Amino acid sequence: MKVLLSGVVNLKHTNQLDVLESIESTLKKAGAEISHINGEIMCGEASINLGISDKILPIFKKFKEKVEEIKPDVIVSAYAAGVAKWSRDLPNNYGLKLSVPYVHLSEFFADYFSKNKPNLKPFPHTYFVQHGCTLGRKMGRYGAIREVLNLIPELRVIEEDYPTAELEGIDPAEFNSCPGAWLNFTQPDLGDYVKENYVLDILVPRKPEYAGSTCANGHFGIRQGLEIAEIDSIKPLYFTQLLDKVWE
Amino acid sequence: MGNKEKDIKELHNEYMSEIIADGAENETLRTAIRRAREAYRKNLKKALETFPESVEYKEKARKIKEYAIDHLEELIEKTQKAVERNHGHFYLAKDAEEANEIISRIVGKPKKIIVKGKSLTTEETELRQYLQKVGHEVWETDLGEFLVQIRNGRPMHMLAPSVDLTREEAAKLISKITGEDLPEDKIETSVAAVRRFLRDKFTNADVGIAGANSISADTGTLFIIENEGNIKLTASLPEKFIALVGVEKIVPTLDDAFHMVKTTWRFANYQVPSYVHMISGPSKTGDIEKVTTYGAHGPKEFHLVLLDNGRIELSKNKDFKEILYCMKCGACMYECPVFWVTAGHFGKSYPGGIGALWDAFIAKGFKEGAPSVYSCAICDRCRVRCPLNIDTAKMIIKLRKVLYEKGYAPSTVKEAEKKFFGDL
Ligand code: SF4
Ligand code: SF4
Repeated sequence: MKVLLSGVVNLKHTNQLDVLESIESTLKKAGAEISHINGEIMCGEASINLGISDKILPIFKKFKEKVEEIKPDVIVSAYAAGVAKWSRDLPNNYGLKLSVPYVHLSEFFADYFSKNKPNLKPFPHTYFVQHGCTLGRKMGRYGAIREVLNLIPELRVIEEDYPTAELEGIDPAEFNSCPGAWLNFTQPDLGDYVKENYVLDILVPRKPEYAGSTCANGHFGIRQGLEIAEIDSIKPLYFTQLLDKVWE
Repeated sequence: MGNKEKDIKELHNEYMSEIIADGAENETLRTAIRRAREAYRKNLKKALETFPESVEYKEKARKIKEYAIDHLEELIEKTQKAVERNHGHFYLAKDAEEANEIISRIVGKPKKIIVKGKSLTTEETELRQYLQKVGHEVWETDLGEFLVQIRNGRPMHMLAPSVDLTREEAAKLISKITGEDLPEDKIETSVAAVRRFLRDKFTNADVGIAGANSISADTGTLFIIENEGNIKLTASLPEKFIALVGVEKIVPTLDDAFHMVKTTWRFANYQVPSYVHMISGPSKTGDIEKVTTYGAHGPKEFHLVLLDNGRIELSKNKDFKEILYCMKCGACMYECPVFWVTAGHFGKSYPGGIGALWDAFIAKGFKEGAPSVYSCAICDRCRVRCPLNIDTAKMIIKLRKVLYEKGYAPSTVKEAEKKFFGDL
């Protein structure tokens, strides 16, 4: 399967090369033939969130042209931003559509594992998963990551709870707290306090051994928060890093 | 130098210094907000367990607001007729300045004693400061707001203006003004000291001023929710009662108004508030010969000052009219990750993400309101908590586009643009 991996440059910008390595490794384990767009800037949601979406429209047109040249079977990304941009904003507001599906990595693997039975080693640890705000609350997509993590033997997944979620008939994931990574783009100094507080207030009391967000942007926020709060009892671990560890 | 003359860079820098130094760096504030959030969640759970039907209130409340905002001008007219029919006085102030002038005229010559209930609308017009400047003696009577007044600050939450204070800090502040040496660990003694101090102000007050949570256009009735009993005294003891209320608080009927207040108090985490006042006009009696005479035990005069200040125009803006659906229940703030470390320093006249929108469109304008618009982490959590499902994040994003075009974005946005999209 020809997979176009999007968002590579963002992982490099944020120095998450370990995450990138694990993405490439797990995609290869799934039999993917990976391609990239050189110099691609994917951060679609950033353009909306910063209020500059009109200005950068040419970049998305260029992206579409490249996709048509490469002709992948699917586009995948660790960032929910591109998924949101290409499934909502660009087709709805600018008539820009891709000819191939653009999915989040968790969805790619959930689909892959539904058709293939991988050999996954037990991982007897606790793992806190933060449902990224864009993929989760804004797009309502929580299922894929749960399916993938549930396949790992002996893994104990911790999700954030919310006391009135059940009474209100709402999935508690809808109330997931945010590590504040988008503030990196607007008020980074304030963002550092928000990230630190996320770690001290949300992660530390739940005592996981590992923590990660579905979205590489949220994951970056968690990593920064752990560093700022100087917490080393919790290790940041993106879900593809976890998968890579257990997938034989 | 007034804010009009300040350049945008200066406004961003000032805002950042305040939000970091007074907000994010303040460990006590973080502790106070954490305690408040936990109490909020516990109380909301109890309220929803006791009254499970409250979950159903949300949808109807949203529908009422959608209708009301789409028919705002018509409802203002209806309200005027109803208030005048009830022997009240009605005013529609086009902006904050006009509202303050009207109220000042109603109050009369200095030096009057004025007792005031908590009201964000009066914060928007800076009414207390205005009346004090004219020469009146004005007292905030809600405990949280009283603390705001004596520390010369501004409200840190829509319903809990001093949510950022610990009991120890509150006791110190109250001791200073009452001259008593209050124990720092006992909330009750602080509360009792304020009660003693304000009692005399209430009995001698010439004028009472408050806001309202909802107004029914058909009967011209104000609904005011409170727990302390200060509104009860503010709206009953003085000769004149004045309500300053934003026009967006009007809904068509008495039933609608009650539904709105019910939704407000439930999601503001009360099972039932201690008091809900319904005020439709001046105090009156017909007990002697059935002749209606005004000013029995309550105020002789009832004045409703409705404030526009950009609301009517906003009600016609399809991208942003949702801002006016906000009932100011404050629920969203307890779940905002930015508010957790900053409290009301995130915002100006109105706190939090929804407050940033209110500041930009209503209270402060785009330029002065711009900095707080960029404090939002766009996480959308407030929408899930909001009983009206108000999509603050979506509106913040849209507003950022407008601010960017006006040149009001912070330099960080331009840097990010260059870094990520510079090669275009
Ligand atoms: S979207 Fe903004 S205002 Fe709403 S909870 Fe998140 S950070 Fe707070
Ligand atoms: S936005 Fe919603 S939750 Fe927040 S204060 Fe307004 S009505 Fe309440």
